[in-house]
Amino acid sequence: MRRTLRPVVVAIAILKYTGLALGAFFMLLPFAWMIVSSFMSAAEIMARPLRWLPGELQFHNYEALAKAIPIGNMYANSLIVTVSITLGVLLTSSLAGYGFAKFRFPGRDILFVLVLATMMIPFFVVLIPIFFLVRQLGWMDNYLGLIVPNVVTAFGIFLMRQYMLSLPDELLDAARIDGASEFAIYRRIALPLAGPALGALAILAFVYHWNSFLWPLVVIRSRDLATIPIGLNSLRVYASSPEVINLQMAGAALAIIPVVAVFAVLQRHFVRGIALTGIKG
Amino acid sequence: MNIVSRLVASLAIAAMVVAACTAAPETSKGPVKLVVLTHWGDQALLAVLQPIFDEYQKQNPNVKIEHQSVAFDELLKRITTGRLGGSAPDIYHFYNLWMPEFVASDLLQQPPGDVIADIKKGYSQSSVDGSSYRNQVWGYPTEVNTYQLIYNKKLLQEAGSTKPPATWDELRTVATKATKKGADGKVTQAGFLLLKGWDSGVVHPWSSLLWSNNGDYVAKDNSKVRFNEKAGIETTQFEVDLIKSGAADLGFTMDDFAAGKVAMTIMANWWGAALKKALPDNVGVAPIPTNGGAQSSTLQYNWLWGVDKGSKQGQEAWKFLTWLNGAPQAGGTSPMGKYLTTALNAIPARMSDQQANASLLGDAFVKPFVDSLRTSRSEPIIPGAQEIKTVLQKQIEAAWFGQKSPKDALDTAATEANRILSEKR
Amino acid sequence: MSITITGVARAANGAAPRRRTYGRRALAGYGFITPAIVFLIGFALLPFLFTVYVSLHDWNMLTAVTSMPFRGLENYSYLIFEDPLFRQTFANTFVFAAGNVAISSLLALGVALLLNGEVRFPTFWRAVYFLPYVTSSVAISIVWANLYHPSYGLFNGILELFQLPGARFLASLETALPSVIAVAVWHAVGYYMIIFLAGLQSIPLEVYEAAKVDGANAWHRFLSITLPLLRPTLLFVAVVNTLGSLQVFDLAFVLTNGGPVNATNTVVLYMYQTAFNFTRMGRASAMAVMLFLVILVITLVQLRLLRERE
Repeated sequence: MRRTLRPVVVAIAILKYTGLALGAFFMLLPFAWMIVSSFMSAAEIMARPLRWLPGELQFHNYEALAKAIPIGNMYANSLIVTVSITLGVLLTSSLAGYGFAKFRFPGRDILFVLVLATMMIPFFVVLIPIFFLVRQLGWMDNYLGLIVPNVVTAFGIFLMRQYMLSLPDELLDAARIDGASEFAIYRRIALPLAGPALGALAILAFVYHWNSFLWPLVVIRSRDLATIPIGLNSLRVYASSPEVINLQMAGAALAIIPVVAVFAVLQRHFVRGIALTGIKG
Repeated sequence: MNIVSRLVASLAIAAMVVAACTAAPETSKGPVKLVVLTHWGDQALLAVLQPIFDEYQKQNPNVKIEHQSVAFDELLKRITTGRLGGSAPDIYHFYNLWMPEFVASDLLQQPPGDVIADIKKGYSQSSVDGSSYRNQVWGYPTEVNTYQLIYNKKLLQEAGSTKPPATWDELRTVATKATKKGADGKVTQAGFLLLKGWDSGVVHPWSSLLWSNNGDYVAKDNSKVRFNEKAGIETTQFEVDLIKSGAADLGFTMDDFAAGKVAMTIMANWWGAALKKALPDNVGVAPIPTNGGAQSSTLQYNWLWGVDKGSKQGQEAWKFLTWLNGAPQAGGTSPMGKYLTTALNAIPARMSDQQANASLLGDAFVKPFVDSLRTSRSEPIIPGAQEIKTVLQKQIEAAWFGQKSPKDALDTAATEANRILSEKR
Repeated sequence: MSITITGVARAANGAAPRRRTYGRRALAGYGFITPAIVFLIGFALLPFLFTVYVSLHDWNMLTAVTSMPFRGLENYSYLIFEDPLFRQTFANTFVFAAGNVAISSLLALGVALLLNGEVRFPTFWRAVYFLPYVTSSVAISIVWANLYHPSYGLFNGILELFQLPGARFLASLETALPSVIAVAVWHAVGYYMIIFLAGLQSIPLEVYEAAKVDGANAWHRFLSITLPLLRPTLLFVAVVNTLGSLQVFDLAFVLTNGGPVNATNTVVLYMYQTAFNFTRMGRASAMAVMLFLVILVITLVQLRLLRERE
């Protein structure tokens, strides 16, 4: 059936795309300015009337940035911490989710409600005690302090359980009859089947912890351990030198571009993952 | 599937191993190890500092110095919360305002008698005051910072002034003349910049003006604050008037001064390096303008070296600090003095260092700051100083933004400050 | 928990007696959940109780846990009755949350509706709107702070080109909080858009077809089909968005540090300052407990309101 191109339909289409384009413009404007001004000198950024483009590309901004903060280090730290946390979350959530979904034991439901209850505890409520605990354990200012407190999340357990409830019991029982150990069944059957949920959880956990600020702010002291958000934050110095504005933009650009690139490649998985949690939640 | 799970497992193990390796504490036996904590992490600074540490280690082969640095924002937290977990440094370099907190928490070790004598002899009274609390000297003062009137020479000339203002009335006049507004009434060039958003930025210049108005911050016995008396109200009103006339428009920041859009401000000597790059040959420095015939005074704060109470190497620590801050090398400057003047562009607190490095300190920008040390007053070292400063900052800003009258703002701050004072004593 | 609950020997093949299977498998079940449970007890439950405990004391972290001076409800009464700043941070946080949730949710729904039907380049639009969400709040705060700068920011530069007066944005008492809300909305819209899209796409087309046959126009279809069927999604968005907004910290810390004066100071930011700048752990813990209770009540109210006609 051909769609009739009545004027109303055309008008609506025009409105729709104009609206989308306008919104897209605002979404992208800060990024565009960030990139452009990261190649400008401070004087050009502050010039009036407004300058849209740099006279010549100031690559030295990035050089100066690398001298001011240890970018490579920051990336390495962020990578180590985030990957470790994500792997930990996947492991603990799938283990516990599997246990709650596919096993019956006394107290199971009460314990699950307990897990759900901890989801209601926002991070800031436990910030001080965990800080104290981490300090007592001597984990301040090192990877353990950054990673371990984040390795179990009730939300992840909830998500994995939801998904694993729908795994066919016959498969599991068949494996048991074959004499496989429970852990082997988990590893060889349940985990692979839970792929989509694991993927969704991995992406959510990764993005969240890659950009995490408050906890690292509290735990990290020395520059060597700074993750990207912490390193960027240290760029906002009180002693403003005229060079700082363009350095800040360069820093933000370096922090954001790789994430954008990864996102562009994995976009479909992101969207699927979030949709999954939204619906199941 | 096997490969995937193997990969996952090995990645996890690898990550844990890396984490564990960095978590494992260094077991050092044999030589004495001194852990030194500062906020000097810049490569340019370390290039000058590390050789100094190396020199001491060469002269004293049984001593190993480990330098830890954290960002300034983190330094206080690091010191107060670093005690447990066995990771407390032996030596700290800290901002003197934190002394009451440290002393109340029994964090600092009392210096030996000869060190105290050396400090009292070799440093100005204000620096000794700035390193003392409860009548006890707690360590070697290092860099001292003061505030002065910093102005853009070109903008001042354009406003018709041949010399910088010396009184509040002159400042008002010059600031108004140097303020330019666009057709829509928006200020395009400000006569005066008020720093805002952080405690020292607001309170330090304000205190300098207060003392140049014969005012007092706190009673001599620390029983109550006095910044809400007449002199304080006048100081706040002075700033509010500048804002209302547009001369000190609140939309301007330090970046604007560095870009040549502001005529004057009150700021500290450590801004010099940045300003020299931004406004070469265009920056002038003058004493804080006075009011009512008072003498020009300014706020000084200093940093100091202290030793942790729980340090097992106290003796070695003080020995190192004595060498670092005291023993004059060839040329008459202490190693610390050399570091402060060359790497930090700061003013060393030790008087002999000031003389030994006179050439560097004679620079047109720095010299007025050094001269102001003769009449400067130490930032008040009182219980709860940090908290009181934050309260005062917020109330002064409330007056600036027109939320409260200067009197109400200062009274509110004083009530809270007095409560903190009585609580912490 | 013993394996030999019934003592019945295992059958030679296949169906083992139920109770015996229950026993051994139960052990495995416990095994699977134990690490997580232990962790949650140690890193969530006990710390929570510890916060409540500390909130009744005075503590600067340097004295031992066992010798904290007991203060009863003093921290609470100080914060509620004597500290105007605490009340202000609560007000700021509420205003922020209300603004952020309302605006970002509505915009997200709007964009999702636009993208739900036939659209060219759906992947592109989705990507563009979602992009801000994956970026670090610190990085975007730095960028936005520069965009907002009264003298050299891009926004005022553009306004100047159009001969319009500039705005103070983060430098004025009145516009600071709305400016922060704008950044938060910009950051979050894409995430909720995806959630709404998923919810919209789960509504079967036949329902719409049927309504069209019955003569319902687009607006009518929206009101009587889309909205009701979106209820679970709306609930999810409302709850999650509110939960996150009430805990705002990053934006307030990096954009303005609570300023000017205290116009953008939020509860979590004030709590952080009290705990780590002034080392008043007792008072900070009391703040945490109070915010937690407020969040709990609001969430429960939302759940009830949005679930009503089930």
